[in-house]
Amino acid sequence: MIANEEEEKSRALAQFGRGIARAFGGSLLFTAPLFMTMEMWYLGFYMDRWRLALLLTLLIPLLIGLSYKAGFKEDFNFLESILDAFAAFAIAFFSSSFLLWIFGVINFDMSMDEMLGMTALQTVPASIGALLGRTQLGEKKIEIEKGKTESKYFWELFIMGVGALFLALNLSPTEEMILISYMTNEYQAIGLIFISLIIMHSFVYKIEFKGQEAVPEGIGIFSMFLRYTVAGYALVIIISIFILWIFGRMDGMSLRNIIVSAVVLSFPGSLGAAAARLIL
Amino acid sequence: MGKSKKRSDTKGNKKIPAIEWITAAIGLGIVLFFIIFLLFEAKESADKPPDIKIKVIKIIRGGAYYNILINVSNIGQQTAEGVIVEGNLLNGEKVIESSETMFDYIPGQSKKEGGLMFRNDPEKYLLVVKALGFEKP
Repeated sequence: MIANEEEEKSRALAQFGRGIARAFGGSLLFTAPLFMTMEMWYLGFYMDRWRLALLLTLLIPLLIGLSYKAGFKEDFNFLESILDAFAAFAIAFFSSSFLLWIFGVINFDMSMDEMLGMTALQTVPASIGALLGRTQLGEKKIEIEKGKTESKYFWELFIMGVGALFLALNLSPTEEMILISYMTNEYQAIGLIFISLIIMHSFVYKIEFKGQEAVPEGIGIFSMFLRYTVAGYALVIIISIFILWIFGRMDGMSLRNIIVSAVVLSFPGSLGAAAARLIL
Repeated sequence: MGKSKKRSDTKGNKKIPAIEWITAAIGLGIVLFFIIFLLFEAKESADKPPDIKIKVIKIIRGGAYYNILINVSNIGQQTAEGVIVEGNLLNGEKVIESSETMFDYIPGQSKKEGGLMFRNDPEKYLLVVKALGFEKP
């Protein structure tokens, strides 16, 4: 009897350890593209502190929502999702600071403000990676099935939002993103909108990717297009504008440039949203 | 993933909650707004070249320099690249000190902030600030 308990404990501990390792790996994977970007480091220390704080504050409910959907026990509850989210955040914080330090991006000549700013910014994608690392690299797939049908719709949108957010985070700090918006004229921007919508829709419903959604019987294609693709794309746009604003890319811009930048950023964002629906 | 397990009993009409249609409508509204706005802008802005305006905001005494904070606006439509702004401190006809700064790009209908640094106190002299030139991106 006692031997079994001991076994149970060590097995549980081992599983916990594996979970942490997967989370660590996931966070490194998600942070890698951003991490080697100079603008990302600079943003870490010149970015407006209030906006950085806002970003981090909004990250927490995002993580809780993701963790709620990716829970790895059948009977998990909300409290566990909260703990999960904070654990992912902590793991991400450590993996980010470790990476930044080992590559010499952070060193002890810097002020605490600089170091913390750069690490905090990296923690945003890293924590998403830490959470997803456990589902994709291991334990359980995200179950949208859980919950009522009404909430299923909004969870789909949420997943799209996470995908879009991830791509927006990766691309918006770069100089090139802003330059592209200056070089793009209005007709090209309109074209981008249509292409984004078409790609989003076909990725998820038409081209036979693995993990693709089957359109439920009796529901018209127009209905799906409006409710999922169009609504999803609008969400991508909102997220793009939000990220551009948070990184101060929008300050002093005219409305025309804000809209064109949002459309330009929403193109990869919509790819991210579509991919998230397929993968997660 | 996401195969719907709930099959409707009759031929088709699984009831779609109103909230989804409302969300779809909001989404459609946003997308249409963007398209219409862009069409409108396209017609409005026949290519208007950059038009630079400079405004001196304030003069700050720094440690080793005097900082003149400026706002540089581009009231044209096109983006101006490599905008060089020069400031001169004049005593009558004579140039006491000259400084310049460059803005990588100033998009149309936007403004950027910058600064010119002088060793001499700008309050004592006549300060003339002007843009020297730009290039098309």
